[in-house]
Amino acid sequence: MISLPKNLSVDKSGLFQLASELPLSRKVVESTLESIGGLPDREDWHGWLTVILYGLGTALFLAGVIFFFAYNWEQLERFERFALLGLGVVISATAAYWLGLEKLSGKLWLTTASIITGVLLATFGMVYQTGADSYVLFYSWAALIAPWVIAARFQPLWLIWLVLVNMAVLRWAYIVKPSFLDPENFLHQLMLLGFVINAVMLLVRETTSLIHLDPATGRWLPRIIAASLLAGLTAIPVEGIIDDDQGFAWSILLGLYFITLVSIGYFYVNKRHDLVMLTLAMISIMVVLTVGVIHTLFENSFDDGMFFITGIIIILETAAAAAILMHFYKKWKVEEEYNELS
Amino acid sequence: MSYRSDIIDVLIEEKHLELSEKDHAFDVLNQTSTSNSPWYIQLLIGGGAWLASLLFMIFIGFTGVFNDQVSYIILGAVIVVITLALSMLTHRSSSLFLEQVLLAASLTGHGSLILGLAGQYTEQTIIIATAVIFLSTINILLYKSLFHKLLATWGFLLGSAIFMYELGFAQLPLMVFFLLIPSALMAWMWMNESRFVVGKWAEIGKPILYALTLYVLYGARISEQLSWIVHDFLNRDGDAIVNAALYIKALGVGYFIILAYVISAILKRLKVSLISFLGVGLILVSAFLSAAFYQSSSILVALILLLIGIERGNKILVPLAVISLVAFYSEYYYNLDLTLMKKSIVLASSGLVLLLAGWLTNRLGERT
Repeated sequence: MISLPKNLSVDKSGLFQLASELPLSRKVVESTLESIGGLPDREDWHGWLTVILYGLGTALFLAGVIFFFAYNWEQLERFERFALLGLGVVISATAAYWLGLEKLSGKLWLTTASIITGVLLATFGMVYQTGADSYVLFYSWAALIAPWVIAARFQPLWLIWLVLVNMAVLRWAYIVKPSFLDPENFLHQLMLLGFVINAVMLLVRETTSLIHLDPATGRWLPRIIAASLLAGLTAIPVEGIIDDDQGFAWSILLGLYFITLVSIGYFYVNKRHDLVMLTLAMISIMVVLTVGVIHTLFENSFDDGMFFITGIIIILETAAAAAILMHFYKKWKVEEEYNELS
Repeated sequence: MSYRSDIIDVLIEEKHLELSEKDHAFDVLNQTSTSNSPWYIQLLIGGGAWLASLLFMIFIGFTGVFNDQVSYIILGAVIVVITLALSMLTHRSSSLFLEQVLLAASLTGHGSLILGLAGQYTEQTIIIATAVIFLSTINILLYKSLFHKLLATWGFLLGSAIFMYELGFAQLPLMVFFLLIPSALMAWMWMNESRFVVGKWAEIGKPILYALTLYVLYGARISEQLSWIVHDFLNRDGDAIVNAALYIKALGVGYFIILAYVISAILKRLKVSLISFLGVGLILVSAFLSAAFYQSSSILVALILLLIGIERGNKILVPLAVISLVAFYSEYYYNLDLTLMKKSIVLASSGLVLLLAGWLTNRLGERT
């Protein structure tokens, strides 16, 4: 059984600070660190070495296999190509099943199987020149691997699946141009579609138990989704500041921008404490405010003093944002410590 | 996450802390946990300060009042002195606003000063290098901000390298010196971390440690790129250096020594003899890796950092080292002058060797 070390989760800064205050000698600090599990013992080192050797070994071996097939690809017949890729999917999925999806290795093998599935579909399309549009590849790929994505509870695989869904829907809308999309302000309508997909995904993930993720792997998936949502939405008010002649879709997106900000603020302060989400929202607000200030100052005339004023505005914005975030950080830290001790 | 009480209990049990000091110790631990802001908030502050200082410098450039190099030097020096004085006066303050204003102003002052010096003494680089070394030393010793000290450490190293080059040292030995010495220092400091992050060294030790780490990692990377581009290493008088390859091999030997030091320090802590089967095996493996990758020293540096990160339980070093190792290793193979077929054989067989080693390690661990 491979076990990862616990020493990464020990907070050493408190001990170091205490050692400075009391003071404590270096030997005492090191021995205390060992006692609280802050330094890896032999078992921890064994776990690390095994993971590193297996991880690097697997990566190198797979890279070698891929390079081998890349070298010989042109010489292979079409059925040999399909057979190889199909075999790759079967081996990867079997390895995932044998190792078990509760282990990282199992999840990685299932991710490999999911990626090879896409390569297989793409090869099929290239070999038979089906003439299908690219969105067909993406939605087929997403549909086929969906059960694996749900079963694996693996954030990187969920991210891959979300990218596929986005590509499928947006490519479909771009190529097919369905009748419910107005040809005017087409880009904004595409953005609206993208917003709906990702906002629904984030909402489902954060408010229901439908999307299970392994809690040990952190929360970077919902944060990436929120970051991409905010990145896209931030462009909307910025666009409006620069050119106030915008369409109806833009107005809806602007409204959604404010709703998103308020929702993030409310949800991640009251329901689920997540300072990263609040930081992302703050950055978005700061960008909009800064663009607004710059546009207002420079719109009618150019004066070099505007650079100085803009610099001051940025300092004030950042200080205010940091103060608000630190307020929540300290408050939640104290609550967390109290809960731990009780 | 380790409970605060675990630390206190261990200290009391081992009689390093009196029962009467327990409450004070808890206060210190609680204060520490709430005073260190998360890295992304620090990044937000730093990013805002950089942007603001850039705008301030543009403003200064546009004013036209200070239109010669001497004015920039005077202005820069005045701002640096004022921000330094304010930083020392407000040393105990935890105001984020003040910290950010000082950071932005300080960056502006330093930028103005160095630009002025560079313009005034274009032909006398040694003066600029001396000024950079002096300013960096002041920043490291006197400024409170971790970011200041980090930048100052890089400034010190860069200034020193230019200074020594101007004194007549050739590029290649300088490159080796300025890679190996900081790498050795970095490894030694990390393996004796509690000496540098506790007590009087704490304010200086921690930022220097991180600055050296990033410098060493990306310095090795840049030096590799340079060694591919520059075929004839010259000294300051323009004479070609013979046996340039010898210096490159010296890097490999140097990194092997550092790697061996890290491994021996870890084994010593785990009470495993260096002359045991495991100890000798690990040294031989590190010698093999150093020989295999002496021309790609960034891979060796990433490996050293990975071992240090695991040993010290550092949540920043471990992912940094893993990402760097994967990236540098991938680029190494990409740049190999071999056919795809040969690359595939090399990669697959290396992978199998590592998988076998992993299996052996796992079996050894299960047996013990």
